[in-house]
Amino acid sequence: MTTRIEELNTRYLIPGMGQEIDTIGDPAGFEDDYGDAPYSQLPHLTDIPSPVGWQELLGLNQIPPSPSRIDPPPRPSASAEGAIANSEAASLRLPAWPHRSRSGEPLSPKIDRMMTMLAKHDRSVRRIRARASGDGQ
Amino acid sequence: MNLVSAEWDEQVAYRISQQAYLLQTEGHFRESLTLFEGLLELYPENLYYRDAVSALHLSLGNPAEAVRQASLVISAAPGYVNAFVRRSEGYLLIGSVSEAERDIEQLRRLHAFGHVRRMEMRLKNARRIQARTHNLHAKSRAFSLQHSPLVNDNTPEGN
Repeated sequence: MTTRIEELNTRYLIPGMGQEIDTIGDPAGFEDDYGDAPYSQLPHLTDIPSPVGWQELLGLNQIPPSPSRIDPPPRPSASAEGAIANSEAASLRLPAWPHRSRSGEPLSPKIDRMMTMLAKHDRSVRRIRARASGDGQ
Repeated sequence: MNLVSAEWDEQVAYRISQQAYLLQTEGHFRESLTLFEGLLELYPENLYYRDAVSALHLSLGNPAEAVRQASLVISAAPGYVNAFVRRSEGYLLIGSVSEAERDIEQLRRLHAFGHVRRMEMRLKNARRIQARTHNLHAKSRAFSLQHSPLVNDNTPEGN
């Protein structure tokens, strides 16, 4: 005797697709339905090492070694470190620099050039800050 | 003479050197040099500032000054690897290949093998360029001698 199947219904259940809203966010139900299926368990994400950016992975964010490369400046002594952090947080302003030595002679042109550049930088920073605070009001 | 004022201390110098370093990494070599030169004037014994000045002269295409500054660093600290790297590069750019070779040898003695490998490649390239230039000069000299009116008998006189 042969059995004839008139109709065959197959239900494909894809997690998160075509389900009722109340079952989507139900991890307990999810576990009940697909507990035996292969790959049904989500991998433990905590075991996976934190991803590293591809630029870091390829070393693209590193400055290539070359004869003209400079290393970052060495931090001064430990006692000065706290003072640096405080001063950075408090203000970026530099102390005033006398343009003449005590004997009245003009200081080195190199120091003068440096101070002029720093003063110019300081002025533009203050201008930007003032504009930003003006826009915010 | 102590140029540094009471307000002007280690932290201020450090902050300026940070700015100078950032300017250098962004390619603002001239501005970075201005800051480092000012700092060096205040702290002439600071080898980091002098080494940075040497590096910036290399970037700005002043190899002779880079060599001079690197030599000052080396005389103060004969084991300062970066100074040998900069000086050998400066020598190569000037065309003093044998001096560069001596500095590379010193780098090898200091176990800076990564730098040695890189500088040896630069040295090889410099030698190749030198040989090519030498050949070109020899050819042009031979050509000018061949076509010189003093050597060429066919040249009509009085023209």
